[in-house]
Amino acid sequence: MKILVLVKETFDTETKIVLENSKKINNEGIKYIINPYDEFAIEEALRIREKFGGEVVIYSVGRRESEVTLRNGLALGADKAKLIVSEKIDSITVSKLLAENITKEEFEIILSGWIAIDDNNAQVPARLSQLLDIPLVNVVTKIDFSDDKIICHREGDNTVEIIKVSPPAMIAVQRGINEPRYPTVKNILQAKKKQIDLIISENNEDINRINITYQLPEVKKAGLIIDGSKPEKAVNILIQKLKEAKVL
Amino acid sequence: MDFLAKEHIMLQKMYREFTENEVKPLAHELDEQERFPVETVGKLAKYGFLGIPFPKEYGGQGGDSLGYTMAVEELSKACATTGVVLSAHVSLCAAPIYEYGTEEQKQKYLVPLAKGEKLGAFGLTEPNAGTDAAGQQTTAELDGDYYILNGSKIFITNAGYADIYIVMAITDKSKGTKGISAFIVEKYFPGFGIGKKEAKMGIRGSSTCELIFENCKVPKENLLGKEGKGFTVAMKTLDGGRIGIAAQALGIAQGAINETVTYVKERRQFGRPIAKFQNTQFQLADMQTKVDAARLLVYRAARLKDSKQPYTVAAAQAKLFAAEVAMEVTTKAVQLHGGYGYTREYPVERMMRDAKITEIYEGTSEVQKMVIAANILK
Repeated sequence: MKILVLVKETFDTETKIVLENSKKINNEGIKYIINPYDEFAIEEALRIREKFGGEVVIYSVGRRESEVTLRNGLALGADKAKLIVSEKIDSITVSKLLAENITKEEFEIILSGWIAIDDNNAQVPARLSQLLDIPLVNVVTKIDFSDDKIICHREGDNTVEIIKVSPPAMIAVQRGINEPRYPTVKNILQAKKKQIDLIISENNEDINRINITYQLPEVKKAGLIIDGSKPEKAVNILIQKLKEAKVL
Repeated sequence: MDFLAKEHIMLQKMYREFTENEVKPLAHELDEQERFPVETVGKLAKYGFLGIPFPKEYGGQGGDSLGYTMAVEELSKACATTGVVLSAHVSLCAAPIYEYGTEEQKQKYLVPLAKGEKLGAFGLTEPNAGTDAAGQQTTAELDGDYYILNGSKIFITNAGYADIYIVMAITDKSKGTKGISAFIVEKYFPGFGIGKKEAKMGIRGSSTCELIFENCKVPKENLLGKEGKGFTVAMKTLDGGRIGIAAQALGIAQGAINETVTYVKERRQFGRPIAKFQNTQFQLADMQTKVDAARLLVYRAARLKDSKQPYTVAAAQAKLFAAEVAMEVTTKAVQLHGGYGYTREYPVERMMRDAKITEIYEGTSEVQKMVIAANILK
């Protein structure tokens, strides 16, 4: 079974982001990681390969340097990686670039995280499956196989939806589907020998129409602590403050 | 450190995640209950820790000494017990079999050790032969196809949990150190037993016991290296072991700094976090600088070993300095925690107790100074 896994390089959640200008994030001191939801997808792909054999290929769109981050996916055990180098990484561009390249592949399943923790867009799985004209099962918490069908579980508050699809299909996974493994020492050492294909994206007019600017969120103001030693006085201050904030 | 290769950075990342999730949560409990981390050993095996520097054809991971050294360091940041379990297994048991073993011995013993199916230990120290390791009294007499071992060893790390022991014994008393030989002893060989377990100040989760040999039958093919070469095997093994213990000391020291940084940002006195006081800042600056210097010495020793250059002196310097830095830094970490640092609620008191052993085992600081000075004055 050939499984493609879509991996996005994101900022480490503890990274403090600094903007160079409204168009550019300062790369200095930023730690990059594989989007944690995509790690669930890699893990699921490895488990499927362990059961049925086949190949796990990582696909990513991003900066050329993200090769370093993708090696971590290879260290987990993926067979190879393809990196489509692109300055722009909005969901429309990424989906188009992926579609253009994946069309040339034969595969049974595309796996990805359902969302990326940096922009929280959750758009690529839907856009890409549309462009490739294959079914998408989104926010999946369990994958089984039966009679050439892929059986996906989607958990609601009190329900579980079970959806059967035929390959090729796109499945976007949710936290809880598995517990990602650590890479073994041997796999880490072998990762450097594995192949990462660089694909340089063409300068597409459609793509250039998309413009993204960045701004940092406002800094949260420190909370107010009211002296509680005299409760009556404290309550009065609290009421006054709540009125000022137009909560009361 | 910026000079690390990509693969070492990736290894470090994995070690850190593993330590944070699998090792740190157990550290306090292992110390309090003086319990050997059996479950962690299984996980170390699964992810390849137990065979990092050995070639794949012998069941290892195909890594190097630096990669292994960094593993001991990272584990020891959270739990020095786990660090020494790994160090004793790799440096003191698997490594001498790799260096001195016959092909048959490697297949029989190194493969399962490197795969982590078996755990290893090393027996040199005796009640009357500590720093004076030449004063061995355990004897090995050849009787047909077997050596018959009699005597006892003390302070043996991993004893009781290890399956395979490298043991030194005298085969010819008249020849002094040249009459000592090394043997590979399996735990179920007749006449081999585990004696008293030591109650220790630190690394309390690690098992430290006496080994007893009462007419213990060791097949003669289990002689490691040539007869009479055991002292060389032991000394060379300890050269490598010192890099491991230096890495353990380094990890303990960095772990104590990390705990202290968290604490001083939270702890408020005189209306502000104690991190705002210049004393705290200056102490931390000194501590981190010394630890970074120790790290350079430790990594240098590992690099020298990897590039097949002499590393005896570099290993002694790394261990001497890292151990003393660990003791100093953990003591300061407790001081910066104040009264809370003295309680068992915070990990720095455990780290201070754990740090002390690194100045003692696998050659005391004084022994390291003898090695270093002998090289200067040669």
